[in-house]
Amino acid sequence: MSDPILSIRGLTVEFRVRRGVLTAVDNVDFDIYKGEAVGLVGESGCGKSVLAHAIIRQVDPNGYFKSGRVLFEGRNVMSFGDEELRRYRWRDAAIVVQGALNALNPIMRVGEHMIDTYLAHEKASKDDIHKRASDLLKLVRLDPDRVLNLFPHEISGGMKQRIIAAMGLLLDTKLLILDEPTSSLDVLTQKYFLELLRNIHEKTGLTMLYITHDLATVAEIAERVAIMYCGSIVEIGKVEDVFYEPKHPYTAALLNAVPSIVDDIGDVKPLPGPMPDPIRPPPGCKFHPRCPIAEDICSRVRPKLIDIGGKRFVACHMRGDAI
Amino acid sequence: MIDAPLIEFRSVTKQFAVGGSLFGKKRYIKAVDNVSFRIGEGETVALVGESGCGKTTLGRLALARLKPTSGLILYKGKDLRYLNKAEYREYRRNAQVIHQDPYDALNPMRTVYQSLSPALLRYRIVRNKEEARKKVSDLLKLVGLIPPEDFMPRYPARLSGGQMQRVAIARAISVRPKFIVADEAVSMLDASLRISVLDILLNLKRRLSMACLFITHDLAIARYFAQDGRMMVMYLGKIVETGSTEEIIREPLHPYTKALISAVPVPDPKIARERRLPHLRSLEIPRLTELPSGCRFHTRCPMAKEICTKYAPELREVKKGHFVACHLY
Repeated sequence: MSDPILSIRGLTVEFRVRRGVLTAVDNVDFDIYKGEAVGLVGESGCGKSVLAHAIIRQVDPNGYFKSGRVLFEGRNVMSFGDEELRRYRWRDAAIVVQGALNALNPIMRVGEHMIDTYLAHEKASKDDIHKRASDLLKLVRLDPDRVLNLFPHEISGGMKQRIIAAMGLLLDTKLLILDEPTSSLDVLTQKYFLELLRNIHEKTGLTMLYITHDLATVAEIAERVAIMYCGSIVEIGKVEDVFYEPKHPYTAALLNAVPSIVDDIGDVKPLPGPMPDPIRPPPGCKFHPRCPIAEDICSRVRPKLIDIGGKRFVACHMRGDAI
Repeated sequence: MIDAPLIEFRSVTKQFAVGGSLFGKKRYIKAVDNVSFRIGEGETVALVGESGCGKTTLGRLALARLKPTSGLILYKGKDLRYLNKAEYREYRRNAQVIHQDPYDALNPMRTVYQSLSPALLRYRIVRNKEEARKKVSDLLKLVGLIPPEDFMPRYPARLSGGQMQRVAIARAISVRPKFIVADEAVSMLDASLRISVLDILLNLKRRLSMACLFITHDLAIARYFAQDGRMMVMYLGKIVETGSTEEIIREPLHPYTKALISAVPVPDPKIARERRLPHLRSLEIPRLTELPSGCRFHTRCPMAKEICTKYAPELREVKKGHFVACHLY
């Protein structure tokens, strides 16, 4: 692996809510290397989407960046001026969210949207953009002559996702962030979309951050995976290492809770206990009230994310020795 | 009529009119097309298929929320159309539903207690408010909302998605039904929460020996829930394959079922990367208004032959208890 394209250091994002202050992203360190596909997995409310949007310096109005830095190719995103930030979004890092196409202008055709998006960031002739858009639509197995002339309401759910992928690739973004991109898709379209993303990634070396609550889709797409719990990253490693030999008890519990279509069905176990209140997280390790191997220290001292070798990091006092 | 199954569909078709605006011509689609099956007491049947295949319509027919255009739906051998008022009321109590979206199912202006108690009183499961409180408390314990006193005064806005779905389950089982239709009951929940909610439903199902029609697009979830039961695979209004759940998962016959199974993501990186989608001729599901001739799957089927474009295959038993509608068999 080369140098990181993106480095997040000590990032904390907070939200003012009625009951107090919610720490959605809690002192996170995280690197993304050029040319890799990395997955970020966690349950809803764990802060994974907030972290993803922080990469492009976007946060809801009641939220704010409390501390930390986001470095893209060594440049501090937090200190960008307006113009620099505008150019950074899409050209350097673009985010594709669920239902992105629902935000499109209903009276503009797909082709006009693609041209507009392109011209907002780069200079080119309309013919060149049209050609590039057509190639990309073919890549996602859509007929460009038809699709470019469609209005948003004429597009089915499965087509939408593929058009979004094509738009995500239009600008040759250096880092493509996909936030739950398959959750509204049927099984066949989802599988096709995942295969497509992997193909694009393998062919073009596109750097991708893939965010989901579904471990199964990550197994398919990512080379490295980070597991997030209550605002903290609790484990990072190569996808095989993390899936076959989880070091954090939370990762192990998550993996146990997913039924499979290929193995025997016997060993599936639900996660123990409820999610903690995000406004008053437990002291020490935030997972300790649900953890099967917690000891005294876990309720007192917050574990740091520690390098345990082999490109693996884990935030656990027990280091998963007893799992 | 001792041997009559709990629920039986005989050649049931449900047709809807679409279009028919001022100038548009009215057209008809068959959301459910000539479907027959039985569900025995206490039996679990998973109904799987992509969105728009008619699985929700089939569920609503079974609940008597919709009337079939043709064909018969029987409850313990009795035609649902000819139930008298008291019998119909009894059926509505006996057949309960758990929806996909608990946000829609629960009234936001009512507390958990207020959502659960009226049906208990209406069906005389309890006689007074005091008994209702006790019963609601017991129900909440059954679905793991503990301590129940904490949950009873809460409004839905103060519940998580998983907790809301547990309240919906508690409400469905509160009137002691014989039959539950669960329509994408855990699809909106995080993958990590699905098993805990399914386990609650499975335990209750066994304890109260309820039959269940479990509708989902997720085959791994369907397999988990109906592991001791049967599976029906639906495509564009037709059942294309049915049999015991494990047999369908391990030895699927219909090319559509095979495609669906190969598309399920597997939480195992090495296996996941080896599994490929069979090369479907088209990714798009045809519209119900423009149904393909012959076998409905032939426009996407990687195995389609000429006969498939001409004649619609019938559902035939090709192994004991394993039925498939495909010309290859």
